[in-house]
Amino acid sequence: MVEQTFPRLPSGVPGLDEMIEGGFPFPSVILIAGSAGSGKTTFGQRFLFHGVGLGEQGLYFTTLSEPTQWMLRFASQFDFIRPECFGKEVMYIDMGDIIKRGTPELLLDFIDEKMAEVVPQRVVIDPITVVGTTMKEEYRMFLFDLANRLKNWQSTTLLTGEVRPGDPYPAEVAYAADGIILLTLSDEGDARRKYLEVLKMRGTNHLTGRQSVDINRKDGIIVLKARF
Amino acid sequence: MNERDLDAVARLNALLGNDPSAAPLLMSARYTQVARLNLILLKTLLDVRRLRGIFITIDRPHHYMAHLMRLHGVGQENLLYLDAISSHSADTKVGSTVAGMLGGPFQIQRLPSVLQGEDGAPGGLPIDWNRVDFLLLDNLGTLLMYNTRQAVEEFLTQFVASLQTPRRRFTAFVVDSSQRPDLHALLERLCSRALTVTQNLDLLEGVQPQHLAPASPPGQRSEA
Repeated sequence: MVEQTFPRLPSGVPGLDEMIEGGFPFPSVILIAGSAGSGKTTFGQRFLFHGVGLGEQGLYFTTLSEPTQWMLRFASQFDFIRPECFGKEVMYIDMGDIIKRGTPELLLDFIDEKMAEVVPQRVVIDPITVVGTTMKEEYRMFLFDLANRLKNWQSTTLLTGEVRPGDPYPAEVAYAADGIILLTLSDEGDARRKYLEVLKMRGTNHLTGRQSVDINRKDGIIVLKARF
Repeated sequence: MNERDLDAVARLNALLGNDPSAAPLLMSARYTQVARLNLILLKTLLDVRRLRGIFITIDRPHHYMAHLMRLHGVGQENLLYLDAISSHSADTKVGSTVAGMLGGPFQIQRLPSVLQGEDGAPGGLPIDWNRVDFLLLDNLGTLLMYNTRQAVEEFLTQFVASLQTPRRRFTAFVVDSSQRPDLHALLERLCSRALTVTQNLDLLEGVQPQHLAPASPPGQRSEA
């Protein structure tokens, strides 16, 4: 019988790895989908900085939602962020210009160059859905090629995706991804609660159903239910 | 390549000694380091040692390694790629290197005889074995996803034996002992030399599992 065990990268999000057999498959492409304020960027930062502690290289592509400068200023408020690693163990690349003037081929080549230069094990593209607004029919093929290449570069990549009202997740990205994690906000009485749900994780037994999460300065994002 | 990579190249070169082909080398490392260690191995063998060799890709299409080497300034004129995965990858990335294509990563136990030309020139490329100094495979761990454990063991035993004729050739196997303990144990028997690669890319002689533990904080190197 052929063995099917995947090496796994621990996510760094407390409580999540117990839900997905110890971590994300390596290599793989995982969609982190959610609306504004649901914790997508914090999730991505936590993932990269957890890798630093394991001797791994991280690469963070920002797209058109927020300049790197401001994203880093807000991120640096979390306890797990280590500013001394900015530009070293965790590299930040702003893709805004290349997205505005680029074709899918140009964008793929740009990402290829950075992947070959940095040789990261952990990658975040935040958010990928912005790229879809600049492409039309070629978006789905672009995502297919992107996911294929990122895995062939031997990395586990988180693609964050903004969820449009009425959609559960960005469907085009979901088709290209090996895993989908959905972050949601829910109004319950006077409170607005945050949840995490693993919708898909290929090759992995995973805990289904919504799990409560908290976002705080110490942990960034933390899955509450799975801890107890 | 950064300073840490270049230190690893220098250290590996020193550890290989005067006759790298004397015995296969086992490198115990975390699975996340395989791609970077392949680059370090090829830099050492091609640029520092000026050897000629074959790189067999099972894990990913060969043009990723070719791109990586081009970007990091590693000469490829003395390297031949045999690609066993491109035909199954639906990859649109374009390569510019010469590569022979093998049928696929399955039935790996047949690879030694394929390399010896029993089915004609491997990958359509005639190979003069007198001009080949080393053979490397890109990721042994992947073999277990396409082949039975027995087939992989058979392949490795035959592969190591085949390195002796018509003259000795060098190979190195990079394996994560925590991920693939059986494979690692077999390779410990087949390889008389072993190195442990720490998470900071320090190279230590022998198999030292404790050094596969989490890395020290950035800026601090573990003791060699």
